[in-house]
Amino acid sequence: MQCTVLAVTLGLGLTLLAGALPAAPAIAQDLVIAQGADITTLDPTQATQIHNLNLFYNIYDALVTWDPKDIGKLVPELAVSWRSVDPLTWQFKLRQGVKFHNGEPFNAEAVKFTVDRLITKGVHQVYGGFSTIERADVVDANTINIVTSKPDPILVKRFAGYGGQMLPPQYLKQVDWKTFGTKPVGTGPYKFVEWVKDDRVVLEANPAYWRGAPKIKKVIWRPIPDNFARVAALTRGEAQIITKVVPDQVPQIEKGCCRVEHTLTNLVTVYLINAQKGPLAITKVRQALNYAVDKDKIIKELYRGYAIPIGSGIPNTDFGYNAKIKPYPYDPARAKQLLAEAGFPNGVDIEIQSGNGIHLNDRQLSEAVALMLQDAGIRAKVGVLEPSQRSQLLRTNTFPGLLLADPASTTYDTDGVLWRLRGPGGILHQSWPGNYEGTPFYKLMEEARVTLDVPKRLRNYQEAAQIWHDEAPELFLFQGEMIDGVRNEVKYQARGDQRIILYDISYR
Amino acid sequence: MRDFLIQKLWHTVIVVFCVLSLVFVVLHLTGDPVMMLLPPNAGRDEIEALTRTLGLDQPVIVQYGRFLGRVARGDFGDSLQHQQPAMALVVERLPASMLLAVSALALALVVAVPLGIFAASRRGSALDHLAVALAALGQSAPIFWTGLMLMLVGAVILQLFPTSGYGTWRHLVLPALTLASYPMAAIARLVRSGMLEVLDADYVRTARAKGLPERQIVWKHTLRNAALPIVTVIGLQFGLLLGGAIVCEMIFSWPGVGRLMIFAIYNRDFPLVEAAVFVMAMIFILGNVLVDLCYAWLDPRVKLEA
Repeated sequence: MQCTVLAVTLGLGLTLLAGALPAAPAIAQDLVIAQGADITTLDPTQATQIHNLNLFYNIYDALVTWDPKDIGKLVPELAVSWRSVDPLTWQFKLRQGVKFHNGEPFNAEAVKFTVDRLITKGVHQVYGGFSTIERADVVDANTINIVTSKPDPILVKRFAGYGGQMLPPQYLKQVDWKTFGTKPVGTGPYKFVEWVKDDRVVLEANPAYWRGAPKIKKVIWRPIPDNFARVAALTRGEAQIITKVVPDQVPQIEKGCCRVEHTLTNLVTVYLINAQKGPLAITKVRQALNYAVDKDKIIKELYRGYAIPIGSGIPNTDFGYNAKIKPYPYDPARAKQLLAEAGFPNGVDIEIQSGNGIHLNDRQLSEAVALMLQDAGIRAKVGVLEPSQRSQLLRTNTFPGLLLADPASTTYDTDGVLWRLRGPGGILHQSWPGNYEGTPFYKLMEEARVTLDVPKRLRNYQEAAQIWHDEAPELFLFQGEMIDGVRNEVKYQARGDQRIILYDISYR
Repeated sequence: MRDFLIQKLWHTVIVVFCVLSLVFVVLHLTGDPVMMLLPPNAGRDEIEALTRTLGLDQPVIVQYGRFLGRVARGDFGDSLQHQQPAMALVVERLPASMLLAVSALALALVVAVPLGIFAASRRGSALDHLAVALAALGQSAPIFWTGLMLMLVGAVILQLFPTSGYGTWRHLVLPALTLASYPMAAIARLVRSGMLEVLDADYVRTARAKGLPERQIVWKHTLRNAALPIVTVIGLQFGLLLGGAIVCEMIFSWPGVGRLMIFAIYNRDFPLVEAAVFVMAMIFILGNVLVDLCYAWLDPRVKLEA
C-alpha cells in the first residue's frame, strides 16, 4: 500500500514538474554545432586537429582553399592568382580591399608577417608544412613572392591547409601570442565573440566580409565528448549539426527530425608494418597479410559500409592516385601458399597493435583482423596502446609488428600522405628498407618532390604506388567516410576535407 | 588547536611534495608531449626543435629541479596544448567542479540520511528491504550506465532536462543525480548500520524509559552518535566527487577539472596535469582537516592535539 502511494506521488510529481518547465528549447536561427572535443587554442599555428581547424577555417582566410566540389583542386581565397616565376619563386597577387576584423588592412606585409611566423622552427606546431620556404619578399602592397630553398611543386597547396591562415601584424604588435590564442582576429566570415572553455565558442557573422555577409548570424560550437550525448543533443534540437557520428548510430539519427551527411575523406586506414627484420622483412609474408584479410566484410560489419577498400596507401582524393591498382582480394589459401614459399609452412607469430578509441572501432578492428589472420596461419597477438605510448612507438619506429594508423595528406598529394612520413627525415623512414636511398621507390619519390613538371610527377607517383602495392609495407584496409548528423531544416553538405564551412550553411 | 593546524600544514607540504614528485616521474616515464603536440607527419628536425624549446632535451634530474623551483614560486608553467598558464586553466574549471560536487553531495545527504534512518527504525520491513536493495543498486551500477540511463529518460524521453552542457539549474540536475548515486547509496547504508548499532545502546533505552518522544531520540541522541563514520565518508567522498567526476563530466560535457585533467593526461600536457593534481591534492587534504575539525565538534571527547 505504502509503495503504491509512493509511486503515485512520484508520478504526479514528475508530471507537475514537466508541466512547470518550459518545453524543449525552441530552435532559433542561430546554429549550434557539436564536436567531440573542445578546442585548445584559436592561434592557427598552434593546433592541427580537425576540431580546432574548423574554427580557424571560419575565423581566418588563407591565400587559397579547396574547391568544395573537387577537394584537391585549388581555388582563390585571399590570393586572386598565383604563378611560378622561376623554379624557386612563387608569386601571389592578393585580393584588394580586404580588412581584418579589427579594421587593419590585409596586404603583402600581412602575408610576409604570417610566413615569417610559419618558418620559425620550434615555437609552433605547423613548421613541418612550410619547411621548404626560405623567405617571403614583398613586391608591392598586393604582390608577394615566396622563395623556397629548392623547387616545391606543392607550395601553393601548403597554404590551403593548416597553418595557412593569414595573421594580423598590427594586432599582434598590441597583444602577445598567448592573448591571440584566446582573442583571435582574422579576415574570415565569422568574428570571435567568446570562448567559455569546455562549454562553448561563440562566433558572429562578419557583415563586412569580402564575399558578402554570411547567412547565419550567430554560431555556437559546443564540445560534447560522448557519442550518445552528441546524438541526443541533435535529436532534441539542442544542436543542428554534430560531427563524428559512429556508423552504428546512423539509424538512431535518421528518425524524422534529422539526417546524416557523409562523404569519403582522404584518411586511409592501414596497419603500418615494421619491416626492418624478422618474417615481416620478407615481401611474401607482407603480401600474405594482405591476402588474409577480408576488407569487404570488415567494412560491412564494423563500419556499416561507410568506407571503400584500398590497394595502396594513396586515397582516390590525392594527386598521384593510381586507379589501376586494385585492392588485394581476400584469399586465405593464397596467403598460406605465400607463407610456405617464404619458408613458413607452419605460419608465423606477429604482434598487432592499436589504440582503444584513437581510431573508430580500433580495438574491434584489431580483434577481427587477428581472427582472419589466424585462418591463414598467422598467429597474431593483439595489443592495445595508450595514445602517447602509441605515438612514441610510431616516431621511434620501434612498434613490434603491425600498428594501426590513418595517414592523410593535408595537401591532397602523394608527397604528403607517403613521402612526408617515409622520405628522408620522415618518422617512418626506418621502418621499411624499400624506401631507403638507392631504391627505385626512393628515386621516384624524390624526383617528384622537386619537379614542377606536373605530368612527370603524376607518372612517378603512379609508378611508385604500384611498387607500394606489390611490396606491401602496409596492410592496406580502407579509405573511410566521415559522417555528420544534421537537422532537416539545415542546408549542409559534408566535405571531403572534413571542414565545416559556415559560409556555405543556411536554414531552409 | 594551533599546534594541530601547524602540524597539519607540515603534513600537507610533505604530502604535496610526494604527490607532485610521483606525478612528475610517472609522466616523464610514460610519454613525450612533443609527439602528441606535432602533427603525425612532422619531421625529425621539427621534433628536435620543439623538444629543445620546451626544455625536454635536458636530463630528467635538471627538469625535476627546475620544476620544483617553479612550483615553490607558485608557477606551474604554461599548458603545452593551450599555451596558457596551467594553474589558471585549472582554477577556471574549479567552480563548475565545485558546483557539481557540492550539489551531488547535498543531494546524496538529503536522500540518504532520512532513508538510512527510516530503514533502521523500521528494520525488517518492506521499506527497509527496498532501501537496502536501492542502495546496493546505486553502489553497483557503473556511473556511465547510470548517466546514460538518466539522460535517456530525463532528457530524451521525458524531455525535462537538457542532454548536456552547463549554465542553468536544469543543466545541473542529471549530472548531479548521476554523480550522487554512488555516495547516496554508500551513505544510506552507513547511516542504517550506524543507527542500528546505536539504537540498541543503553542510553537509548534510558531515553525511551524517560518517555522521550521517538523523534527526539532518533534525531538528537542516536544520529549524533552514529554520525562519526558518516562524516569520515563525506570528507572522502567530497574529494572523490570533485576529482573523480571524470566519467560524469564526459557524458554530460560538464566543463570541470576532471575532464580537463583526462585530456591533459592523454596528451601528456605535463604542466597542466601537475597543476590539476596539485589542486586536487590540496582539496583532499583540506577535506580531511575539515573532517578532523568536525570530529571535535561532534564528539566532545576528541581533542585536537598535535
